[in-house]
Amino acid sequence: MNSQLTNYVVQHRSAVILSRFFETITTFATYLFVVLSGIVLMSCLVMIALQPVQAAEPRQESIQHLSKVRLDESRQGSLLFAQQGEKGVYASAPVVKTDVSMDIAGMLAHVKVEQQFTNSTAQWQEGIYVFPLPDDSAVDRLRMKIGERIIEGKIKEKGKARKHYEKAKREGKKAALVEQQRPNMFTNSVANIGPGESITVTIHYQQRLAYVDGEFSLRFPMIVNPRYIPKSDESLDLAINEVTSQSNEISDFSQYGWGGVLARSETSISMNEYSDVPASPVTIHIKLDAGLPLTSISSPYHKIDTQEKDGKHTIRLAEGVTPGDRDFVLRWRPTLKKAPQAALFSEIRDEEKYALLMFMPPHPQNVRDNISSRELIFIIDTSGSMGGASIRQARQALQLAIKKLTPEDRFNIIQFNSYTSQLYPNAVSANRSNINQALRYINSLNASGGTEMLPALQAALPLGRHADSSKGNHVRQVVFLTDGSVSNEFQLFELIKNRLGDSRLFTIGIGSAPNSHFMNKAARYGRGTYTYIGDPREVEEKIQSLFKRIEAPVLTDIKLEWMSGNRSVYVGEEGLDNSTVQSYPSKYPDLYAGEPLIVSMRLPEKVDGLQIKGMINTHGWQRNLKLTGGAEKAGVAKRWARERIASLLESVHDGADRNTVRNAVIKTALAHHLVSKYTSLVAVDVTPSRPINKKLSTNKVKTPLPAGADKTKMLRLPKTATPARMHFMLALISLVLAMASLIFAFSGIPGRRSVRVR
Amino acid sequence: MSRQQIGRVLVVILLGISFWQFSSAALIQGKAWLAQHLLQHAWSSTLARKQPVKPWPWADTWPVARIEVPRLGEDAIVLAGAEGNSLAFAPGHMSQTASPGKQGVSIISAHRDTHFSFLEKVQLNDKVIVTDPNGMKHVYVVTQLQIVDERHFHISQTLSRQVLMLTTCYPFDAINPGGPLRYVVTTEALSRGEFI
Repeated sequence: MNSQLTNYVVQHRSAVILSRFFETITTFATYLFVVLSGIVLMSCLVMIALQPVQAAEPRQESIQHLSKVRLDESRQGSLLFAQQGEKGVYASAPVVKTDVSMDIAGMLAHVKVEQQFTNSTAQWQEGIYVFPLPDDSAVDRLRMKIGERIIEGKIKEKGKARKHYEKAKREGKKAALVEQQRPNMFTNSVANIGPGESITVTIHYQQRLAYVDGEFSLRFPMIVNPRYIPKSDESLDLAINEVTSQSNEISDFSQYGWGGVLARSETSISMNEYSDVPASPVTIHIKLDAGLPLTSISSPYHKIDTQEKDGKHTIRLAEGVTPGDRDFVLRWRPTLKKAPQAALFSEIRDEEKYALLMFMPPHPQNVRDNISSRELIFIIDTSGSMGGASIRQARQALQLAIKKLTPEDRFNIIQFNSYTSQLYPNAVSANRSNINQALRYINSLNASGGTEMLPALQAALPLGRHADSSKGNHVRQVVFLTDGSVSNEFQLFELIKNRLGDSRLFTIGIGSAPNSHFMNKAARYGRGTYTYIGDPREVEEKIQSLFKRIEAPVLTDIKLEWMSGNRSVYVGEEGLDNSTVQSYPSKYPDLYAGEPLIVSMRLPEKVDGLQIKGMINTHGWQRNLKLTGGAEKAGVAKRWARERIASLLESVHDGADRNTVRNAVIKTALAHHLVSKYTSLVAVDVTPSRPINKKLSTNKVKTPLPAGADKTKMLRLPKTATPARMHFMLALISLVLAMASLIFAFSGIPGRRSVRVR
Repeated sequence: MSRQQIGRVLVVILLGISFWQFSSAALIQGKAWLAQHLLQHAWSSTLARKQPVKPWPWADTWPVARIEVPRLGEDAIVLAGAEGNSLAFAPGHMSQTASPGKQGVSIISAHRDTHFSFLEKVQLNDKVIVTDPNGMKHVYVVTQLQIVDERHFHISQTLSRQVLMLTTCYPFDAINPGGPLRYVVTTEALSRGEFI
């Protein structure tokens, strides 16, 4: 009994202690609850203040929304919601079939591109097709063929052409509009294609052939991607010692074939136009009248069938049709003895004389002997965009280049992505051990990160470096391997211009889609050359020829003087009358081995001679050429106009007034019937064909991605959901549960009493 | 232990969890909100000096643009890089894409809970104004609203036009972070830059 009592007391006491303990805790918890509620409330207020909408949103609705998206997930490729008001239009774009025929003669190619738009739907359609042309193409003719009728396009100021087209579109008339988006990218819009109907639009342009190291080449771009089209790396052309004439055709010329400025049109092109769909089958038919005996004709990326008749060649694609996913390149090589050293073509148009001159400077045999020391700085782009095949190709090219160095050379390697690092603090001698170290270094290079090009160029072109004349003929060359996917181009050009000094910059474009615009221009500001390596198989050959070329420029500080009899003639600029010479390009680049000088000019009657002055090694050099005779060819004037437009647009970068330039470009383009940044070709049918009450839907014709381009390499969008919402939900749930527990605890009071009594 | 004792323990634990979760959420929101104010200064110096200025000495990122959506009254300073380090403070520019205001496709991402929660309210034809570090203003117009699966997302890295994409996670109000869906607002430059 006693023990029982003791037991009871002990139990009771412990119960009391326990209950007191819990009472204290409860009080503490209540305090805590009040404080926490305060904090929670404040947090809520903060949340509400920061995100009024989300906090106010009813949660049920959001969960419904969520499930709806989950349902949709099944039918998503990469696109779930099309643009509002445009539902379903993507499925039924008009199909474009492209037939290309080229007439190549002498230095120029006349190209006719026939695009057949077929509307297989039951609606009236407008087709918008984006297509690339060579950087220097001079588009001068547009024809629209409806049934048997042919409507010729007219050149108009861009805005006016667009208005004209839009008006025809509204009125139900068939119309075609060719606009330049960039110097190498055009759009062709065709309005009011009836259900089941086909409309053929023909575009004509001319292009200058490239001629370097005794080989002619021509590139027909097929990828809409404007950066894919490298301006033929051999940016200059033909050559000779005496002016001869060729019984050939026109010329097409321009190494500054881009305005450098994105030309916007009213056409809005969405990202959807890029697709994996092999769209746009292309056929190619070429008539090649080289006018010279040839040793070879080849096409590196396509199989071709070649037939010869009376020294003229007919070339077709062996497979007939190509899916248009990679550029077409044709190369041909005259026999060594017949390789042209100079050419002159002329044309009289509107009583003005135009001429196109190609001149190959003599190649001194002893260039290398004059060089006392050579320093080669290699910059390799290891940014993320170089990933995959590009970096492998770049590594291969760089290793080849390093192996070609001789122990007298000094070299260094700079790599950059988000950061810049270099192999050696300063250039070192290319002895065996350094070369081996460099090869190992190159092997370890991987592509990742951003493209911070500026510090790399700064490192390669340090400030305060001056030509060290005491060292004799010192040569410093920067070889830059990149895909050029940069956006601060202007800043980079400035840097190159300001810091170049006695260095020379050579750019090598790597991969399937390098930014040829950037690399060409960088090389020009860097007084070097641009080489495009589009295929791993070409690496060896291209590096070889680049190294041969860059040993030293053959001809530098080129100046031209026009002669009338024995007197020199003033070189004219805008605003001067026809008695002055207008020649383009306005500045002449240094010429490297195998590169010719090419000049487009408008000549006054009295001018009959030209004096080319320059420096070969350290000696002055000059040659007089007669500008009489030469083959008369249609197209020379157009080439001059195209060159002039390019030169005018470029002058904006050197501070020329935009409006003056614009007016001058429009004037030139209208006079020579050329599509430009400010002018478009438009063709409009006279009779309306679409009943006004029928709706017209607009479609962008899908353009395929470049072959081998990053089809599989996609961009991972960052994770952008913070767990804030989860935290918030958990907090709310805990709070609710806490309250529930509290209620649960207090509702248990009678039970507690019964325990106590016992 | 009695029912009410368990109840009390539960209350304490649950309130603790609640506090912890609330403060975590508040920290994320607070950091995002506060950082934008701190970034203002770095951005003004960037504009003045025309070179990257780190917002605080140990930062591994710097302001690269300012982005505004006038219709919604939204305004944010964009940091370089779209990784966790920058996204906590500001929208981040994906460094492998073109710079904002430049030719090509430029992508700016931000958290759907913080800086880019407003993307939900963006409509077609809304104007987006981007100021680049040179002080140039670029006006973009919204041309497309998409929901994409980031596992299948491609962009052209070589576009000649000036396109800016604003991306954030989708759905906007999903509780659980880490899904594959992204909301993409595509805008295209209306004007070439103007100096401010």
